[in-house]
Amino acid sequence: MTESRLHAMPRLIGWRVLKMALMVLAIVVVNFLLIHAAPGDPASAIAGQSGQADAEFMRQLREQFGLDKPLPVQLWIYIERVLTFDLGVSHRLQRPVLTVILERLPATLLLTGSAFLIALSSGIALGVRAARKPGGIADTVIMGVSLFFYATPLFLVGIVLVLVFGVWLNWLPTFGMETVDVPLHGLARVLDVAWHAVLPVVTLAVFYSAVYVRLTRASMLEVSSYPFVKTARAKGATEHRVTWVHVLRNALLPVITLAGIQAGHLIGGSVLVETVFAWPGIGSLAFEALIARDYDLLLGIFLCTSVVVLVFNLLTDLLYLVFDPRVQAL
Amino acid sequence: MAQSASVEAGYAMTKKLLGIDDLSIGLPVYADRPRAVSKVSFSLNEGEILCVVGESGSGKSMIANAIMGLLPRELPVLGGKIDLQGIDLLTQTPAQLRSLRGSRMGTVFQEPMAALNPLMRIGDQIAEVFYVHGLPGKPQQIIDLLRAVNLPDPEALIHVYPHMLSGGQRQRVVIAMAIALEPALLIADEPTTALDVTTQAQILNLIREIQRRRNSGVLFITHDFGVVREIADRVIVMKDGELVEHGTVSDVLKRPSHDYTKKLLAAVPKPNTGAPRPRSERTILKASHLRKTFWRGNKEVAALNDINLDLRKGETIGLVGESGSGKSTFARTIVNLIAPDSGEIRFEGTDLHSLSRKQWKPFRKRIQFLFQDPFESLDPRRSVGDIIAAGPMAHGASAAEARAVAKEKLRLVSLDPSALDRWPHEFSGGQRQRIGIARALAMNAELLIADEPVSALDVSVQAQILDLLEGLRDKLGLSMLFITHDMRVAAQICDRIAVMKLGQIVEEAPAREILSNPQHPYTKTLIASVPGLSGESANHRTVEAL
Repeated sequence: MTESRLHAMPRLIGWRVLKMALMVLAIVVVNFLLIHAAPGDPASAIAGQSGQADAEFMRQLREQFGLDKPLPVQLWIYIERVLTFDLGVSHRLQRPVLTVILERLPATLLLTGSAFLIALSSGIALGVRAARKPGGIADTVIMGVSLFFYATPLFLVGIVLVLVFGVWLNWLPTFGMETVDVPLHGLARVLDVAWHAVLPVVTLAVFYSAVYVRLTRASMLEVSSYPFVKTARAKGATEHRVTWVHVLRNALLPVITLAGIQAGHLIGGSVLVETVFAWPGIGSLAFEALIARDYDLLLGIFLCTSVVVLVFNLLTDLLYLVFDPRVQAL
Repeated sequence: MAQSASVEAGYAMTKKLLGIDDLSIGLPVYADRPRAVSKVSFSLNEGEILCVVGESGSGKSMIANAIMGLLPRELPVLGGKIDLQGIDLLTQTPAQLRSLRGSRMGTVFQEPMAALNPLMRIGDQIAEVFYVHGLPGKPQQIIDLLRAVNLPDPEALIHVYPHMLSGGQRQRVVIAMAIALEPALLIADEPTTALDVTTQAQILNLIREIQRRRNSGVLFITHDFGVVREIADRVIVMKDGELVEHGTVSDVLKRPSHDYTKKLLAAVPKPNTGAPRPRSERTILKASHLRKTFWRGNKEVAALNDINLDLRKGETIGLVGESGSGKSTFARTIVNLIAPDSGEIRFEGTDLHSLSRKQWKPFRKRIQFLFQDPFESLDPRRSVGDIIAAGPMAHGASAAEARAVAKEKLRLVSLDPSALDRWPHEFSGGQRQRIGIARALAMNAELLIADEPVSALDVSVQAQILDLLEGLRDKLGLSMLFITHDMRVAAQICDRIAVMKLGQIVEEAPAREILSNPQHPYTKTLIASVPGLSGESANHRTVEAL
């Protein structure tokens, strides 16, 4: 029965991908309408920058970007282009949107990916430790610290870290992704980037970690009261084995759910941190595009982040299917 | 007497396995009594089954936890001695106790549905018993164990996850784990309470069979005197943490010495032996050719398969069946919570399922429901008065009128009217069920559908609620559809009994006819499975029927 469940996987995935494609289309439409509902447009932004804003120039600009056409027509043109993987051109950077996004993507993935992995592993480990003796010293300290970081705004943590470790102690770089004045290669460059990544990654990780600590602890305590845990003890299993084999595996199910949701936000969720640390990723790109009313670029980033969310949802469900034998369908 | 003397002589020859001496277990300061278990002493010999009987909160499970060294932190052992084959368990280190668990003492718990790790294959969970004791645990040993507990197709079963098994099958797996290392002591804590009666009979047989084959000692904890009669050699009775009675099964069942034991035995439901009540000519509820099919995945499940039932005015029909037989689906169909696929239900001649929402409203008053779980069926955030008054107010009574009704109904169910302004959590299970009855009666119901109303209650409380329902029925002329899995309960309160199996009523007749002369093979199995009803104890053929 278990085997047939996993055999059915390709067909299930096929269905899900089809549903996801339709979802992406709906997202494209909503994103488009949303962005056009906001006041201002690229023409006004450019005109504002260039300083010569006579009506004729604005009209020309709008004609050039196709902004003079009725909204449904603009939407149709946009969808047609997206379907052929043409995300348009950023008017500010004068380069294809797809190229710009792909250029910035690795920096963001490096930042958010490592923050995510650190947050998840440290969160689970600390959550398990805290649940070992509820009300004990370790529990009180872990829960207090995690509450503090959970309640503190992300950018504030970032700024404090910059002040302490960058400005006062001068231990760590606080700006950008690598040393620009001296070109480095090979291992030296890898270490340089890692060195630069420490503060932004820690800033992002402490926030997410706080959530995992609390969830893991609550889930561990709940599962500890289930009868099968008593069965395991009655077998003569050690406390170590009871915790890691019986309780934790079951307690991880809700953590996986939350991790799946957060993994989907890896690309979109780092705007603040990237801005504070001038990290050259998607987040800061989105921020700049928003200020400049760079419609095509902004829509491209939206689309990209939506697809990532959907992909991670699918991955989470697949993980559940493998992890929990009771789950029968996606 | 000669019988019991020879039994005592027999004990003297066998070896003592477990000795409990003056055991006391504490309770947190906020508890209703100072000790969970107070100065309890008893012993268990090899090859013997000792039943520990008591109601909830009597401390019987705490003794089992103390033996295993698995008492919660808040409940410390205050004093006494537990001796297992010469080992003083209370002085063992946690690591020493751990190595004794599973090897010298195996345990079977109450909740088979939750007693297995849902993410681990059956084979792995059994193999774990060997693994944690540093033994290899070969696949063949595991297959042999599954065979020993009479599970079908053990080769395939080791690869299966717990959720694919029924409750009875899971309990067999738990038993297989408990006996894997051939422990001298088997502790069974209410192992059949959550199971259907036919499954319970099989599991009791299995435990007895294993105990005889291996000559192990069994400490069997139960609240059910029927089960005691089926399985026990000796019995101890617990009340509020104290041991009140101790003796051989025949002595305790036939000649109980303590008042509490007498009270418990008297509370065991017994077939009603009074004159049968005359059957009214007037039909109040009539179900004809009722069908309802559910889809579970790709499988069609006939929850109701051509149900016909004729309930007369003032009559009580017991709907008896095991879980999944369709009893509750039928009850829910009557009150329109589930729409049938076909067939009709007439209440005093009106077809209930052709009614509009508005037309239904008067019938809601006349048909009322009584639920199983007294702890979950009352809104914890409303006062008792509000709960009872909600019905009349929904049907147009003013707040003052509804409150007066609530007061009157509380008196009817023998609760003090001061209960009006108190909260559900302040009441015990039995009192809450009384509140549930008051709530159902607040609308002057004519038909009461009681879905397992006493299943969650201790036997002495159960007897009180059954008495109350019987009294109210006679006083108010209520008609009742009484749903239960317990043939003994049905036999006590019902005029007629309908036996349900797989969505069908396989047999329906006056209660005493069903009991004395069951026609359908399933009814016969069901009655034969009722613990203690067969009239003879498996271990002591001389014990007479209760």
